[in-house]
Amino acid sequence: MDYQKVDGRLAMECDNAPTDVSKRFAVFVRIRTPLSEEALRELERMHVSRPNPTDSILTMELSTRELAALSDRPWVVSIRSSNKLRPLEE
Amino acid sequence: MKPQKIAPGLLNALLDVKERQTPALAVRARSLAVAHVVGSQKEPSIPVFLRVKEQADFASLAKYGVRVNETTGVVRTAYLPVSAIEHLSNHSAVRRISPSRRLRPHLDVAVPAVHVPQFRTKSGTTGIGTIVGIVDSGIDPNHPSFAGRILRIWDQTLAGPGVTEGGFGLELTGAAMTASRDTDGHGTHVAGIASGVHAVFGGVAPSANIIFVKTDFSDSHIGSGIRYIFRVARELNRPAVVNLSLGGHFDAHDGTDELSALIDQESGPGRIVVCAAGNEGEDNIHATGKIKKNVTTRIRVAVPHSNVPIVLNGWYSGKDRFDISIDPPTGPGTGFRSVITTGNPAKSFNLSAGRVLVATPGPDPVNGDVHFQIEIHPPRGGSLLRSGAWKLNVRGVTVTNGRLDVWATDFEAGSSAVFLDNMANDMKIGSPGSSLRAVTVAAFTTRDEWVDRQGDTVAVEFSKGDLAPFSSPGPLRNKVKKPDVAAPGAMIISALSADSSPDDEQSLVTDTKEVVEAGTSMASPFIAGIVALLLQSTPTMTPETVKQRLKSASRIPQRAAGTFANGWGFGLIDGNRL
Repeated sequence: MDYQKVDGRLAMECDNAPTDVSKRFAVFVRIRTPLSEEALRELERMHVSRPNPTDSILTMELSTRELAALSDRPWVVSIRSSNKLRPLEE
Repeated sequence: MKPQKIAPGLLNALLDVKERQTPALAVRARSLAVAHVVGSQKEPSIPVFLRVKEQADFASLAKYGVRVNETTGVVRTAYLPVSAIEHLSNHSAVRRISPSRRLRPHLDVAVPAVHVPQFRTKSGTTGIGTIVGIVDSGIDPNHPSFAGRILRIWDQTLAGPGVTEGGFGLELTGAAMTASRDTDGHGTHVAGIASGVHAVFGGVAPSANIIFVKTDFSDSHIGSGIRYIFRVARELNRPAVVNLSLGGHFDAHDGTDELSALIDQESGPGRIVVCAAGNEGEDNIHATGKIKKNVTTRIRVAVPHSNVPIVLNGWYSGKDRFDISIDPPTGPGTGFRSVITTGNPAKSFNLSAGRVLVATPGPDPVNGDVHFQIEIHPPRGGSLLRSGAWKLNVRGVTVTNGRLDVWATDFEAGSSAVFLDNMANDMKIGSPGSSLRAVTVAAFTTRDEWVDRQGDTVAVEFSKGDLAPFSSPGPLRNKVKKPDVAAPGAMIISALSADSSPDDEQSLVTDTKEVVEAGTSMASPFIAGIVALLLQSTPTMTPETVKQRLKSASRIPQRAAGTFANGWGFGLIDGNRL
């Protein structure tokens, strides 16, 4: 696993439960485009729809095992956990 | 008698009755809803509204003929002889006595204040043929303001197979849309501002179609929602504007975060995104400092007694290296953590005051700056954070630039934690308002009082005709000018979701399908509606052209054209200048 590509929260989750497949995390994955066919097939195995060729930011839900594997891919720049925003009424 | 508790209109009536008796009431019979005036032996009675202490008991006033209809609540109604008003005012639990009056709806002031009707007339536009996309808390699918114009709802919170952009939630069309509800009310109000149909409180683009994404506010799901709206619009061959009346402070505040970058990628000809600037104008959520080599700068942050974890989000130049530590109000802290470029840069600390997570990775691969993040959770086995002043310590190791920026937020994207030192009242626009290609909107006050459903005039302290004090100022951390423009954001009357319950009954207006709200949430859909009008005329207008048109049509009051200010952007939009 490449710790420098994941945020602190995800890094701790991966350390605590590296092979857990039950818990899934909503994430942003930044990638280098264009993706190879091999990379596209790997994403499809993770149930991620084929992205547009120019999309460099993908959204998906991953287990810690998938997170760790994806972080090692050279075409992955970073993986960041999704944060809860809030409506902006006063 | 305590005259200060009695509304002026009633005081005048009392004075008149003392001097002229029954004829004084006869002339006021209609306005005060007086009963038993003519030819009756019984003393005339009138209905009134009362503001009282919550558990007030008025049994002792029954002997004066006072009948209070409710036994609890701070707003009550009563029926009493005019002569008993004096006794009512003397009761210690009574705060205010107001007459019950015939009500009239108030024309909304926001839309005419910025000359939207004039622009619609001049341009011949209503938004027809365009799509207003909204990612928010939901929409009331039965509200008459939107009848026949909602095309689709992707409800991300319902169980289902999802859509291409995300395998979760349920896509609904036609009669099935009633399965999705807006129990919060925020999204319905926003939709009404952008595109509601109403004789008095109509929206900006009342003929636009709506595509709604009901979200759980997770930012990756919001990103998927934006992609979904633009994809459907493309399939329908229609231009679209997406409104995002939401935000947070977990990002770099320079537009390089994932959601902002996704918006930049998805935006293009006929695909425009409009965002709210944020409501932290009066909250000390941003601290800044000049860090020196081998010197520790200590920045205190006030943490509340709550179970919601706090986040400190810090950024500095990639040319520098700082050591970071955090100390609780009492007891030992984490000790300094350096930037870690190999292995896991995150470490967890089980302090007695709280469980703290400190992450100090190497430079960010996108903007090259260094980011640290500290999370403060309730302690293990405890349910609440240790409240008090926690101390963020920053020590310079390598210093070339020295500037540090830190934002305090919490897991609900709120501002429950605030800085006590090094506060800076700028750079408070976070993602997605920091998106470079989005139009980011500040809030302007067009109304500071209204008449509620009980007939009471309700006032707020915002200055009418000025920037709303809560509106978050820019610029971005990299000095990019934000917000872009300002629009009416206080106090705005718009559609009320039937499935929601406004927190404060005062906010209900005479029309029970509308409610008063404030926020940059309300300003953003105003501009989204204007963008829909522009897209009707020019369906392939680019984000850059939209921004230029809006900027050229905006002015800061009493300032020269083209002036920018961190709070206003380029100023208040004016439909006469579009």
